[in-house]
Amino acid sequence: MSPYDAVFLAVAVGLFLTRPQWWWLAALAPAVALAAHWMPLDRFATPVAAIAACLLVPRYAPVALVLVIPDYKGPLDVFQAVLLWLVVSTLMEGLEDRFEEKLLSSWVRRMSAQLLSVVVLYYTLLPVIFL
Amino acid sequence: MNSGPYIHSGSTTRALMVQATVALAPILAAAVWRYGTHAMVLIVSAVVAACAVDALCDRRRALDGSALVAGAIFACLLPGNAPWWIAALGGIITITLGKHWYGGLGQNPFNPAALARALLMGLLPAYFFAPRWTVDGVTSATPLAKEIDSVAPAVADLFFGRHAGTLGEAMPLAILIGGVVLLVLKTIDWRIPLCYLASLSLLALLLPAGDRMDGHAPWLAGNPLVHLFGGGSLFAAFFMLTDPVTSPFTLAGRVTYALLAALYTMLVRFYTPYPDGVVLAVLLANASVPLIDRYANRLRQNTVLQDQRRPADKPSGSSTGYESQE
Repeated sequence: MSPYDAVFLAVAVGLFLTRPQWWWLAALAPAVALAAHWMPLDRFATPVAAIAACLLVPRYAPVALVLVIPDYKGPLDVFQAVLLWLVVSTLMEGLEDRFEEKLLSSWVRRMSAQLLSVVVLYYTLLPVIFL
Repeated sequence: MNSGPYIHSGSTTRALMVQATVALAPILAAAVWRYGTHAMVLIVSAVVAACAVDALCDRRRALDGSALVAGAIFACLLPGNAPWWIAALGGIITITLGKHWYGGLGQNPFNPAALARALLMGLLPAYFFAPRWTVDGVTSATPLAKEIDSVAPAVADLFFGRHAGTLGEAMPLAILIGGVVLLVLKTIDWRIPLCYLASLSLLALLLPAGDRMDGHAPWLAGNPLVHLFGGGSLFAAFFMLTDPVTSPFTLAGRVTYALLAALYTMLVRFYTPYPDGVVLAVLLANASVPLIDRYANRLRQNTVLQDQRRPADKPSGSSTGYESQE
């Protein structure tokens, strides 16, 4: 999975969770993954990175876990993924205001509207990988 | 949104849609003139599919004309050689996913036609990035995707539609006529197209042509007229960014929104292999609207509070505008 795909998957996973106060600490997960692969941990690098990422914000662990999966090539990759995740998460937080309960009465409808928005942002921001 | 009470402007959804249709008419006519009967097939396919699906989804509002306008705008985003079923599929996506998925008319956070175009471009890229044709046999995607050794197109050629592109880009002159109709009828806020086009021109002059522009024609940099009349900038400025549902409420918000759209358009055009980023820029700006509105409202409230704390500065001695009106 590319870092770009992982960012959007993490945002989609985050929709199903209650956002904790320190949610943004999950942004450290890509850095943790890179650091773990730089350390001489051999085949334990991935599990160690996963555990460390989950411990960053336990209530947001699924999001951090998804952000750990990609193979980050270097600090620039990590920086781009973190920035993109923060931007998309912030945009989605703003868009939540638009999904009012009186119009989208059921949870399924609200969630499907939010997932569609994530898909739209995925294609919208796709050129960013070339920047 | 501003707090009440509200005063009804007197305009209805149907009246707004009639005005938009009148403004779109010269663009659609120019597309048919430029691309022939196939353009007519595309427009009819998109509009009929959009109206039929809208009638199925919500019969009460089926005759308000919004589906017709959305379908026509989607048709304007199609390449001249797209198959008719792409137009029909796009019309269906525009209404189902772009409009009703979010709760119906007035609730969509994204421009429905732009959403449909972005999804189809992602799922079926061959139909959007493949070389296109014109009646003159010129083969290219858009003037902005010219090969690196090409020469800059003449501005007059761009202005009068002697180039390839989507149906909506067929003739910038027609878009300007449609835009003037919308401005005269006060259907749209003039500040959004002005800020968008002005910042686009400025960025075309200022953005450096670095290594990232490899593979792009060198004349793309420092050539604002090419960026104004080539690609979808003009169409988006008048017909997509100005959608009242997906644009900010405040003046500062609208300026920020237009600036953001212009910046993303130019970043995509200059530094990515995508020939044109207008539709994507519209969607990104749409997605930012709730945040822009939130911060613009906060800024306005802070300004009002500061004014209230400085009553001596007010010539009338009143603390708010409302008191002076009483």
